[in-house]
Amino acid sequence: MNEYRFDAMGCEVVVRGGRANEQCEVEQLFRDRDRTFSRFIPGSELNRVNEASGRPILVSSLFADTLAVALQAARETDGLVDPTLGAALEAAGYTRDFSDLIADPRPAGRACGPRPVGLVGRIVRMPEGAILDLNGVVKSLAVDDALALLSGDASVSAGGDLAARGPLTVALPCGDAIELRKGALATSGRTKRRWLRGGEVQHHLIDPRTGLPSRSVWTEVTACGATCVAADVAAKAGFLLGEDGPGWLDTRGIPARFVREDGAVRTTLAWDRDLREAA
Amino acid sequence: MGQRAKKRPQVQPPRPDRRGRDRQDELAAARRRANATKVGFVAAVAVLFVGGMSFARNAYAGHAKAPVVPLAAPGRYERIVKKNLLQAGVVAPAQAPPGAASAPS
Repeated sequence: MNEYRFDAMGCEVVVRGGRANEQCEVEQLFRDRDRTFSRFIPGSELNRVNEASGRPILVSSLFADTLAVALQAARETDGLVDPTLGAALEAAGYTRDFSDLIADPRPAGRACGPRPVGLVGRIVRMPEGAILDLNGVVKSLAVDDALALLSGDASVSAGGDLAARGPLTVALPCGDAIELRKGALATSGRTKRRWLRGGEVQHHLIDPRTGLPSRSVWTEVTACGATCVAADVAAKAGFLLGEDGPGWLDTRGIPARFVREDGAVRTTLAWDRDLREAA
Repeated sequence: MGQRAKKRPQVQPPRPDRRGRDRQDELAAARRRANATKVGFVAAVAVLFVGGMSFARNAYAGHAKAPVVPLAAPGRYERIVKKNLLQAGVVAPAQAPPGAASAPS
């Protein structure tokens, strides 16, 4: 299967399958999404929305649809995966592209928690002081949309968020591998995107209940969803809920795998059932 | 007798043709009045009916004031609310060496 790689959204994107022109369209899609939703590109649509804090602003259909998905994710996770925690991320020191982040001796700040965003059609109104950060869904949505551009059996992986058409064997954190039969896999954790601020390790998964990087007992959570955005949101929610994560995903029938600091692995009932039934 | 017969003024009976014409005129006039009354009555009933219907449509709560459409939530609302974001995929034991990896990014 032909493979095409490029860097976008601060990670490596790997496209397998599809025709050459389709793979180029996938790269274009990722570049467009990056330009629209990056907090670190001046003049991006996301930054224009954040600058219009408190005032209604007309956005593109893509932006409105993505924000609608992010708000739906917030509703379905009881506010855990919230798009309005950009201020908390900045307070933790995530103020520039991850590859440019350096240790900062100043202590991390604290920011307000989730805030209500107004979205009517294509009109968005951000509450004053809130900063929108759509990274919780943008990358995984891009993976889903990219897969739709490819013909035949294919897969798209963006920094480990992965969607496939046709069976694909996937390596998991801390060893082990599974076959992705249907849907997508996403892993969220605090082992990669982290940095030092005030001598303390910070990471990008903000707990909306504290406004600080989560102190979850898990280091990595992998979830399998019907779509990559479903898998990504489930993995993030499972991570942020700590010990309650497996039970919360079990009630929703989501196959998921949790890894602790010491490498111990716990899986949800749906994960075990899938492996048992397939065997 | 010698009595002179008192001369009475002689009333000329209407001539049969004149009498008949007058009678016909009266009947025609009566018919015209009757027809005008009927037309006026029907028009008044029609106006009353239309007026009453319009009043009922606008004033009575049970009357449809616009074309009837099925009672349903707007499509966009349904798409957002009913579509469950957190749907599960399917995994199985690995059958081949890994062709990809899932890791935090």
